[in-house]
Amino acid sequence: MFTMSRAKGSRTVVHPKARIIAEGGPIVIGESNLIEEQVLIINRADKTAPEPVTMEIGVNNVFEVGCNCESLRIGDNNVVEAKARVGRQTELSSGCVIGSYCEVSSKEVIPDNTVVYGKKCVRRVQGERPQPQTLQLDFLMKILPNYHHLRKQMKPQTK
Amino acid sequence: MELGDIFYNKAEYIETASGNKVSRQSVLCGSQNIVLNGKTVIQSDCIIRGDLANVRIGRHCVIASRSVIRPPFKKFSKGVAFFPLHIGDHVFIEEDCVVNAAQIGSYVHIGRNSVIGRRCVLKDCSAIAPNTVLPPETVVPPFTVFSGSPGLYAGELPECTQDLMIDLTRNYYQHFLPIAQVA
Amino acid sequence: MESIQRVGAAGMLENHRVLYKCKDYRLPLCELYFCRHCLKLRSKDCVSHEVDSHYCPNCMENMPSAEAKLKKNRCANCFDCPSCKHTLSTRATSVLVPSADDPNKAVAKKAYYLACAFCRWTSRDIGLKDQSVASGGWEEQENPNTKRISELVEYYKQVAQKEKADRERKKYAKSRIRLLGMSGKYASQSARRHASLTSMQNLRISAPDADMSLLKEEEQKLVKITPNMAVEEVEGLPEDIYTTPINLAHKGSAQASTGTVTSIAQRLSQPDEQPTLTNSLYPIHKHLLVKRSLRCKECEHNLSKPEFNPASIKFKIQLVALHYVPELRILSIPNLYCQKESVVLLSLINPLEEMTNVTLLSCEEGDPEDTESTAKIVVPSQELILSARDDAAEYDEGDSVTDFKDDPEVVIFRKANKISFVVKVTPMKAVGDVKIAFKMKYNYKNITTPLGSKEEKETPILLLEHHVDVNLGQVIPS
Repeated sequence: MFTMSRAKGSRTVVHPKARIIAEGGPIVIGESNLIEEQVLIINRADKTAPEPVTMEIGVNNVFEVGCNCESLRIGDNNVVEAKARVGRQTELSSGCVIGSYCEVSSKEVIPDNTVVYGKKCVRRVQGERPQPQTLQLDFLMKILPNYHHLRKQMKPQTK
Repeated sequence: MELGDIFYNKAEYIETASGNKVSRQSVLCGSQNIVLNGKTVIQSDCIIRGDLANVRIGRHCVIASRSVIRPPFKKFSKGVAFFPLHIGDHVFIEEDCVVNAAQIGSYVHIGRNSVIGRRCVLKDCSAIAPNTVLPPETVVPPFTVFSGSPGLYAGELPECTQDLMIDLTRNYYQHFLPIAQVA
Repeated sequence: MESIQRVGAAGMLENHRVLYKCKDYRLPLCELYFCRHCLKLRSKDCVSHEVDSHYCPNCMENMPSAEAKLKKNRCANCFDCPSCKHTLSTRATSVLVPSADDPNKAVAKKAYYLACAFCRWTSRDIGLKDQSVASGGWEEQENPNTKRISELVEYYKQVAQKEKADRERKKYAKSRIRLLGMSGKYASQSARRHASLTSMQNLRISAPDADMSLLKEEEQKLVKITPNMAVEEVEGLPEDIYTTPINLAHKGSAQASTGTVTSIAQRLSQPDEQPTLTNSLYPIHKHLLVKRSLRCKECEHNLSKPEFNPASIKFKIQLVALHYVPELRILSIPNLYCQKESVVLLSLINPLEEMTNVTLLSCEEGDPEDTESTAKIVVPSQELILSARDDAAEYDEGDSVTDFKDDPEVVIFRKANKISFVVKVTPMKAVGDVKIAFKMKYNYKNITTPLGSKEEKETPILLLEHHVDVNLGQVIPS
């Protein structure tokens, strides 16, 4: 379900049961993003801020099943893995990987190519960049339209 | 301890001819590709993605609320394909799990809130502790318990696990009763 | 062991509440074995474990025991990530390489590297070059101490041999005449006692003459090795140890080449080198798991023998207690108040293929086995009759044929081989768990003789007894 205004780039695939809620301001989502089931991307209404704040999400990001994202700025090529949570104060730059179950809500900009993983999730590694999911996106865009009942729940985005 | 009766609202569940009890609130995408072999219980708010690839679930399985079952994808040189997902018989998947595994054997127990990574293989008679994260491509051998994040070998299961799981899933199915009947 | 009980099917059924007593331990029935010859319950600690086979948990490949010993119980092909211990997967990339024929043309060749899917560590992080072979191409790390250790081990083997020969010689010298014919037998017994070092040398002291000649050979072979010298002066720490900042940022820095400090867990998982910097953390070979068979310590019969194939869950022999002892389960517990008698429903399941009569007896005063109970229990006075287990009855919709005249105040519910009955419990303590203990007696038909023999009609029906503890939960404070 979507509320208020938001713009979404082309080639982004949103799976069923994902929720993108723009309460406190518009959400701008870039191209080629992959948003899986039960993902919650929310721009919370902030009572202290007088104006609506835009939430910006870049290109080639992957939001895996069940993750929660409230961050205001997300760069490119990031991967937020299953059941991870990204708080409002955090900002992801590019090439970051937030591992499964990890919660990152400190007020900081996470530098490029960081990997947060593990139980204690203060672990960070510099490594190679995660690869863009273009192949998967192409495949999904071909087969998802075969199941019409999915598209009735949300706006068609691949056109 | 015996399992108590678990009641559900009769209107909320569909009971098929082979005895499967599927909640109407669950999302079963691509239901023509999903095969439930009989006497399986699928509780509310589950998501089973049959549109990506075939999903076959064995007999007497229990998939508790809010779990997500989706087939994994594999990247080939010529593109990407979603692999069919096979779940064996007498498998108990607890609440809030995310299952991306390539294959789950029979008599497997998956604890609540776990994340099973892509292309994992869970062999028969294994168990996953609650709150585990199994990273992609883990193989869980029979009679082992994996727990932690990343999921690592944490212990062994007794030899009679098969009987325990058969008992557990059968009893669960028998005690899963619609309210309209009892009232 | 405690936490594993809360996992899996046993955890959901809360099997840890009903404990059966085997010789020293109280364990739930699912963790016990039943020895058909001693007719007793056995736990994992009352049996001897024997290793059947080694297998790698990742590739599920069997490894013969000799090879496993040589490779220090590690798999040859599978690696663990040194930073998070997850299994490494091999990834392939195409690299443009000038082909052998024509140096101008670049041909795409596959290069393989190891990568961890969890923490994104790759073999390129430590500078390992990509391999051209998918598996088996990874070079091993040399332990700098190997040479010294093997020298020491060789020397000690010879010393042990020499000492053993000395001892044998003394024994022979005393009773050489008497034991001249029996020396062979004598040697084999003592050889069994001195296991590792000397047995590796395959010592065969069959005759006193051979013994003497061997001793002379050893004296020649004894290599003088330089003993370790204790040194007073230790090399001092480098000057800049107080000034250079340590990079503790757990492998997170722009200077990947210098690396950061490893954590204790990472360091100790490679006891050979114990690297202090992350850029020398090598991938670790995966540790093998074991398939084991269990043997009763008293009668030497096998209690559990799994199949050879690591992926199979079948057993050649499976004498688990769940198949032989009636299982007691808690059906429902009311609120328990101190000094008030409450009604608790328990259920019994008969796993045997014969009808059994189960009698419950409350423990007498001063029973040495009754250490845990905190409540009084009134058990049903009559026998509880359980019908045989019938696997085909699941598909049979009709009611059971036999009509047991059940006392409706005692037996609440009966279906196939399961029965629920009433027990009255009076908690004695005001705080804590309510635990009850009682003895369970039942008929057991001892079928150890093969069918068809003339003793078939005379298989004795024995009365077996087990001590059971049940934990009913907390007392509600009044």
